[in-house]
Amino acid sequence: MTKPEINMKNISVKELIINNIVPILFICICAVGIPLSGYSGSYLLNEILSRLGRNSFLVLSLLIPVMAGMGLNFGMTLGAMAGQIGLIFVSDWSVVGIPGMVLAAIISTPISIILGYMCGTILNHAKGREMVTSYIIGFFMNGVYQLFVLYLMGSLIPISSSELILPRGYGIRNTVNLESMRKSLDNLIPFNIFGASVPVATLILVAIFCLIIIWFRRTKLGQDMRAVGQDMEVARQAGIKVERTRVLSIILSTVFAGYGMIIYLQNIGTLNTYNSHSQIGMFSIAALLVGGASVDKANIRNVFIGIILFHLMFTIAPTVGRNLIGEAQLGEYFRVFVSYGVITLALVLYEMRKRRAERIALEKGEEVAV
Amino acid sequence: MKVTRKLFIRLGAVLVIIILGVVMFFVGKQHTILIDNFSSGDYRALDEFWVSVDGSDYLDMSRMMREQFVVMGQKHNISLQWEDEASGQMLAVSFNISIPLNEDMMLLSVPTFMADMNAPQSTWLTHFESQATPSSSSPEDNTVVLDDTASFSSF
Repeated sequence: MTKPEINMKNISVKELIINNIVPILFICICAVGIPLSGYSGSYLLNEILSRLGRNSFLVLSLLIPVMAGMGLNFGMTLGAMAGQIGLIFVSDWSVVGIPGMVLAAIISTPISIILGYMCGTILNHAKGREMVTSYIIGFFMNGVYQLFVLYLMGSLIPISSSELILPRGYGIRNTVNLESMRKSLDNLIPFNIFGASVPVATLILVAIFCLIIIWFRRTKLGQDMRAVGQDMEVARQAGIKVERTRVLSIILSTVFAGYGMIIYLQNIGTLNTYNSHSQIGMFSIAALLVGGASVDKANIRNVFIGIILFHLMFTIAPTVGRNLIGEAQLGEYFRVFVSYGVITLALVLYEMRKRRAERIALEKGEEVAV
Repeated sequence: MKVTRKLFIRLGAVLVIIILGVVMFFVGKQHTILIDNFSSGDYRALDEFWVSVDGSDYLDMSRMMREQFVVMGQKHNISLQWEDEASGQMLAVSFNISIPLNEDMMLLSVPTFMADMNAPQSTWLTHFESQATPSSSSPEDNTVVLDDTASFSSF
């Protein structure tokens, strides 16, 4: 009797662990941390559902540049800034609730398009170094944003609300109160499960965005992006306008990041004018990587797994720190250093895998030559 | 020909978005309505009445009371209920108001409205300037936090 042929990819356990080291690490951290935190299941469920609604849109906006082979778009902070500018104007005009959010999104769109175009064009001049370049563009644009918000708003750009303007007469205050907009989308369709509030409307919006991404992959532009992501030269020879496709991917990502930031801030209810956007790219990228994504491969599943695991760690870390050492601040530090650590680990693993694949390809080539 | 069609579609899309923005501005604009039961000139304050704005729960209002309702949009429905002194019966009236777009705060004088319900809206619904005095500013008030790590705790 002959053995049936097993038509399965031959992956060793070691390889499986290495390929999924980040999610596995986070599952372990959460498994140890949850009992130590002492939080109830309903509390954790409530937190995770809230954070899932709050962050999904932002993290999903990272998928398109990955598809186009541009890596993780640290330049999504540009979109976040555009979203915040929209929210500042809307607050000044006292437009509240869902209409306020829609108006902020409309205002943010042209700003995001301009910033995305600028970022994409620069990234085309820095092929192969997109991530670090977009990271630095984020810092550069932060300075421009500060100039815009701190000096031009109230002086050159009319802002009438005394609640927004600094007492000196120009510049926006440290915090903008979004109480009139707070959870207006999350609570649009009230629904509770096991004592946890479910942001149904936000999750519906996220689901629609997921469907748009799935549909987009099948469009001509989506196929072009995937082709560009696989091999730029081959795509160019196939008649695809590589540079234009790459710029478009960054524009789309920036615009969606702007919308994501508006959704994020309506959940928080307060806008830290000079800080809210600065770390959003870092945490969104960390969440995506925790979900098992890599620099060249990310999908919707990675987004949701990542947000759940990463934010579960975020929720429990301060309490675990306090319960273990009597210092909640330690947990705060822990979650910050883990965020940076995850990105570093993912980048190192990506490079290792790439080099290994290159070495194997080289060895195979040598064998064929012999 | 194809380019022109494409251009028109794009311009149409931009126009639709602009119109949507304008509609959102009108629909989402927040206003404050102050329901006022102070005596005003010849019009004496009511002893007691109940008020509801846009179908909210009725709020009991006595003499010399002023209540604030924060509303969204320009058109609103006000419902009043009061007890007729002569017959002891409960009477009710419901009417619509339209707040000018540029007005943040409007004062609705119920005694003036009750004196003549057919009077134009401008007689009993007037602009109100908030009396809140701006807090004195110190140099610290003008400082902003530009620390990148300041937002960590909000995540």
